[in-house]
Amino acid sequence: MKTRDDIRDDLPLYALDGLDAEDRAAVEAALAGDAELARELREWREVVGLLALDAPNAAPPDLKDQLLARVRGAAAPAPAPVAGRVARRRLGGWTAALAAAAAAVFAIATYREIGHRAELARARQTLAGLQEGLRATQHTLETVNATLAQREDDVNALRLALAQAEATLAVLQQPNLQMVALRETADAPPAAGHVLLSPPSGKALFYAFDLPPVPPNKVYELWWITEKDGPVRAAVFRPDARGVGRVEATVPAGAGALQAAAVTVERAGGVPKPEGPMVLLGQVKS
Amino acid sequence: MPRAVTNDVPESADVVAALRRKEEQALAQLHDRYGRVVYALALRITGDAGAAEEISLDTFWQLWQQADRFDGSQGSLPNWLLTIARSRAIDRVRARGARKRLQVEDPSDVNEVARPEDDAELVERRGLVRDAMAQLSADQRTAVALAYYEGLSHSQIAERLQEPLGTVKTRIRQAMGVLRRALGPLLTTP
Repeated sequence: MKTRDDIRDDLPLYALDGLDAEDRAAVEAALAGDAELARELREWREVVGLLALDAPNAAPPDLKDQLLARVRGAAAPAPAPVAGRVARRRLGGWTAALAAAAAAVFAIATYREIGHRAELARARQTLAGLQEGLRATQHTLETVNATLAQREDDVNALRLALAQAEATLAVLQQPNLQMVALRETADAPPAAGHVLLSPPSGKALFYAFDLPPVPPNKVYELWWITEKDGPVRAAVFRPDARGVGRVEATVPAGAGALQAAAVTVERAGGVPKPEGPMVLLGQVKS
Repeated sequence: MPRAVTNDVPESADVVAALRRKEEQALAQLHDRYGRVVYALALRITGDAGAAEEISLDTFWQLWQQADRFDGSQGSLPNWLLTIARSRAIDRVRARGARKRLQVEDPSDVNEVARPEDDAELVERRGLVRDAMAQLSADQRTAVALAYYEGLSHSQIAERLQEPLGTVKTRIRQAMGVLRRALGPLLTTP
């Protein structure tokens, strides 16, 4: 649980959009109803806003005309009627009749053109609105997708951690739990490990520490050294970036008493009997 | 004697009111004042002049369309404008998939001559911001730049720089503290 001081420490990172999902959620929860924190956040946001002025000056093309054209295109009203411009001179006889007919045809054509122009302006306005809506939706969608991907990663990491914790607990809750400590062998680099054994259930949990990484074509393999069958393969694993290896295994049945546990370096996928160098070994106390 | 500089447009409230009334002149004035900054920011983030043009236009267009949503209690109008631009530019880079790797400039390399058309107050503010950035160590500048220009979280920055998470977090906090102190005269938050 974060204290208010922790949240205050996180405010500059929050203003920068630099927090991960969990920390971000903690800040947002703390901000609700805390006017002082909100004031501080506003100040940090001002600092962040000013960072834009550090960007190297760059001469843009003349975008103002394009911007204003877009504004006018979106708000263009229907053109004013121009039918009144039709000639109104009075003419006599056939000339007048022909002129009137021509004027009527012109007026109809003009009226239709005005209608088309108005329709076109409305369509352009609608199109501009739709395009802007689409851009805004795309922007929102990209943001939501990025957030969703982050949350999925968080959930998957939590699920893995939970499954491992449950497996650990299942072994730890067994009766007559026995621990075998493993140390590096004479020629191996310094490392350590331990096996938690539950002979009644046959469940075992192995942890190794400070193991160096192995190349992609190699793995570490855990072995049970038994009274009757000698080395029996238990599991293969790779250590994480901190050198920690963790693997669940089953104690073999019918192989006689368990005498020791060992770890060797083997080909990727593991081998039925140990071939590679042994790096960890621990005797089982009877 | 330099005149007092602030982080707000003096007539900010009037400009917002005019934008809400759909007065083109207000938008034109705002563009005259901040168009260059918005473009420069978008160009810095995307490294692509065409994308920077589009982002600049879309930023002012969004401001025009959504002026009703501006809330002065949450920050200044220029801040809002630059936040929109930054967000759009970072989204554009993410959508493109191939992020342009950040190259952090040494502020001492930035030796620009202000153009006659540049707003004098903006030039002065830019100078203060660059002086403030120059107070940061190279490591601090890199961490802040990765967060600001690439939109990376502190854990992503730690991964990028191959450094412990706590170190990166502390570095950004300290850098932001230095910037806040140095930029104090420009801040308007009471």
